[in-house]
Amino acid sequence: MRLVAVAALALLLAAPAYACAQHPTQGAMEAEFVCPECHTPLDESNSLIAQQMKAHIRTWIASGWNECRIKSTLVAQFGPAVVGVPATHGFDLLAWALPLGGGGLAVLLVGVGAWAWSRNRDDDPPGVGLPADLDRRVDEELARFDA
Amino acid sequence: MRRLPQGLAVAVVLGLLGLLVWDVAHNHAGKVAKEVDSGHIYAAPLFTRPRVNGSGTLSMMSLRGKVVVVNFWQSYCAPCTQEARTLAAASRKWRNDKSVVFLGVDVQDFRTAGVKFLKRFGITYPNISDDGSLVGRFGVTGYPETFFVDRHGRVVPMPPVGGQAGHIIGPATQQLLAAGIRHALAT
Repeated sequence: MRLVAVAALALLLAAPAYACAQHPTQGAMEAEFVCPECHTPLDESNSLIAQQMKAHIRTWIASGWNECRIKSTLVAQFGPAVVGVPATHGFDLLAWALPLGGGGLAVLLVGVGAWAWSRNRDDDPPGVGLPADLDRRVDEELARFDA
Repeated sequence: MRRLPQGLAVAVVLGLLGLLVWDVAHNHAGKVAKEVDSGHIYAAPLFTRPRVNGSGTLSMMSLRGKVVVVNFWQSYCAPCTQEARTLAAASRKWRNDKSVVFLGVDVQDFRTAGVKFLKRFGITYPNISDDGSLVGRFGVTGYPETFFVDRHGRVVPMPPVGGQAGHIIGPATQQLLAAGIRHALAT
């Protein structure tokens, strides 16, 4: 359980940290944003505004802008929807929390289920063994083979 | 023991349903366009946005007392280039009437591209930039679209002209603009 909590926290912290790469590449930046006109990833769009955005990103990277500065500039012009991934704060946090919470719950349920199943396997339920007379006959037959 | 997971599942489902209801209840997107296209008057959203052709910001509140022709456009939208000269000419025509102002809203655009567009078509009336949030509040679904706000800060429906009513969807014409402005002045 602790491991799940630590993994969730690490993911939440890693997202904004990754967003602030000091030397972003053109390809990584184009994959991070979506075209505001056609709503497809920027690297897959060839619309006029997508071409303008790519050209601006190229210029900004050449000027030494980091990822955060590029992101905040584009968000100011095109709104938060221009970023392809949901934000890690406010209402959008649910987009991260629900899958992580669901995954954690699933791991917990599988663990509890496996534990319960393994416990049940050790104890023979009543009435599973052979009837007493049949058990005695089997012992007798086996004793005859031994003799 | 079995009741705990069931209770958790029910709680999660109810929680998600609650979020959905909250989101629907607080979502006013598209209300303005829907209302005026149905012939109803609706309060214009109040906003303050940075100017495209000029420095500083412009507030909708500062235009109260005037009829405002609100035009949503983008520099990379082909129909917007078709109507740009019409809007520039209409704004010059109504320039002497101090109770009418034109306001352009450049949506999800680079400022440099917006300024270039305005210069190319000789548009001198105020233009503001929008990151897309205002579009949602007005219920704009494409570009260009034009709304008419009366002197009391209400979006008023344009009377039926040339197959359009409520607000102008697509390139504006002199006839549509005149009809919308006259109706807004009369309310």
